[in-house]
Amino acid sequence: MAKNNKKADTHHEVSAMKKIIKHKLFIPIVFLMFLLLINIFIKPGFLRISLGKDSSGNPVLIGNIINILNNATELVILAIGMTLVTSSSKGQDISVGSTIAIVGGVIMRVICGNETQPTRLMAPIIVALILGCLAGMACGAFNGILVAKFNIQPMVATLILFTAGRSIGSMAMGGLKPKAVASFGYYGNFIPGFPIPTPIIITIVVVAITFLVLKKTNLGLYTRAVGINDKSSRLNGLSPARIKFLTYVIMGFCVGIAGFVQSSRVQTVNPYTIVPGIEMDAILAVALGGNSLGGGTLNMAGSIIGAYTIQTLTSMLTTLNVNTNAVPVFKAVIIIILVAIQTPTVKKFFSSKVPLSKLATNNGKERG
Amino acid sequence: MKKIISLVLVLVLAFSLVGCGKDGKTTEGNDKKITVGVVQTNANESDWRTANTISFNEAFADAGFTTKMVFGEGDHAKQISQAQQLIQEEVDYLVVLGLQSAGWEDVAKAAKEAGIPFIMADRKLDLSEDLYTAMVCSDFEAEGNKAVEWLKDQALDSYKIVVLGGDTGSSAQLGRSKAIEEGAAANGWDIVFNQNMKGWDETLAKQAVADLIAAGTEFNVVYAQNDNMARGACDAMDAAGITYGRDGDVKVIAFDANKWALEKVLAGDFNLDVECNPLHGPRIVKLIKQLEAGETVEKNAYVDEEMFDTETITQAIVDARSY
Repeated sequence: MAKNNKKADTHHEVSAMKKIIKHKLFIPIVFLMFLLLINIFIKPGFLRISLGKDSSGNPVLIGNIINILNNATELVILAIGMTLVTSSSKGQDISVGSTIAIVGGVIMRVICGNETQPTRLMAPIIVALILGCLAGMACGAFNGILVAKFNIQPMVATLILFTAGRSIGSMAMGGLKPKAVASFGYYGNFIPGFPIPTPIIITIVVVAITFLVLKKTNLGLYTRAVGINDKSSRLNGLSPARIKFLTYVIMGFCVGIAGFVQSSRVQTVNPYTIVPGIEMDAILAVALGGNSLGGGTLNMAGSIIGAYTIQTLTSMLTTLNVNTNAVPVFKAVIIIILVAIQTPTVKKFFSSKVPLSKLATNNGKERG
Repeated sequence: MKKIISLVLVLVLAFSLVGCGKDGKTTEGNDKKITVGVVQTNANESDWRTANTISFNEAFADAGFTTKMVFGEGDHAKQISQAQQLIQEEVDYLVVLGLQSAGWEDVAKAAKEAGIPFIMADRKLDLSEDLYTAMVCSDFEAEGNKAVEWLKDQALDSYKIVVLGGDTGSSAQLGRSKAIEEGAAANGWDIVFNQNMKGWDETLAKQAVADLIAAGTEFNVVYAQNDNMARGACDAMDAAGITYGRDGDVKVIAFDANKWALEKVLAGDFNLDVECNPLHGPRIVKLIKQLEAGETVEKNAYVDEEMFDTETITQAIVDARSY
């Protein structure tokens, strides 16, 4: 990594300013602010949040920011798991979209039984949630065993479920396309009488638990240690295999929650089309958050901000009605700008003025 | 050694998992029966596809044909190799429902050389007329034009249309988008939003419409290119308290006409649903019988498709629908 080559004039800068710029969340936050500013510039009403009523007369909050926070839920939850997996195993889980199909299939089967238009819940929703999470964790454990025990590269190991997951999801549903009762939709939409979308609440809870776990346990430290160096962490008394396995199971749990929210949104699941391409968005969120995709870094807050950045971008392309053929190009251009700013070359260029390069060396440095 | 064992294990796992996804519907028949090879897209893509598959199986079984059906499972290259395999197995007729419209020339040529009639179904493929025998396809642009005509008859004060497209580049999306774009240009209507949703899915359509509502975009027509996206759009409008359907402010147009969607038309939630007929089986049986009898067949036949709006729909139509 590039060492900073401070110039004389930087000494005069206020040290607080320097601290902010050096902070590892600086770039991710600036990205997000940048996108929001573009939005506000083009659509002045972008930040407006109004209290409306839905068709049954219940109060609901309506606004672009609410939509972004709401729709980013799955991505944020997946990005949390993906950050851990990336950090510990030096690779990514590309099966998350397919395993969401499996989780969705299981949840629909539990709630709808064998009927396509059930008039009641076939099982309590908590049972569906638990079984969905267990299904997700089983997939995570499968990936984890391949990665941790058999030392298969994560992308190859997870390619198996990536390929087969959607078919398995379809089989879990018995080939049916059921639509669950409306009350199952509370978890992906609104609880009647409560104006904040439920997924936002779920996100807050999951994020809070994540930070609590990272603060109170050694999970973050051990994960990074294993990601930086397998052997030395083993010599220090850690079990790399167990920690990698654990991160994949946590990833599976995240998939379970995300799959639950996703299937609740429209109370139906099409395993072949559910969350198209979300695995790439989740990996991108991790990258945008300033994490090394080569493992050993753990910038959880960065990944979460990265996830919101991607959702902001998606939402922006909709509200601006970008030509449908140009959407992928538009997205790609913005992403390449965001990623390019983070490369050492560009950082070095800017570090001649602002010592940003500290950023790059900061992340992996803590002792494992 | 350990590595080899783990590799073998992974391969076994992979194949067993992938193997589970396949549908073992290929049946061996005796030599006297007519064998029809069908290259289908996906086994469980949608209710529409399920009805489509059942239609083939039932019609061929009734006609005494032997069916060899294979599924591409979203993989265009796989479909092509499956079709070539069927030609090598010397089926008597080859029916292809292509995931993509391009790239079928070699298969069609091989079939022609082997003397196997090549029949396109569902989606029209990019083939010159001498390479295929017949087609039984949906005319997606005509479907779109029906919706445009209907919309014109509504004589709204202003037209602000939200177009929710399907998978970019699929023939259904291309045809239905072309119809509304040209219709809007010809009649001076505004298209306030026009983007394609990956996977023809509820969720993305719902998110898009919710974003539009939040941004204050005004619209009074939703042109969703399948039933599922129309349902997603309705969910989003429900959440924002916007009324739609027969008694509402926003006209909802859907395509495909699944049974549950026709129930929504009957309930007044959707204003119009244009049918996309999946029952290709009987038509292909008729075609094959004509060919067997040495008759000439109409080469470019489109399937008959109707449309149902809140005025014309009846309980009887909904009940008669099998998918």
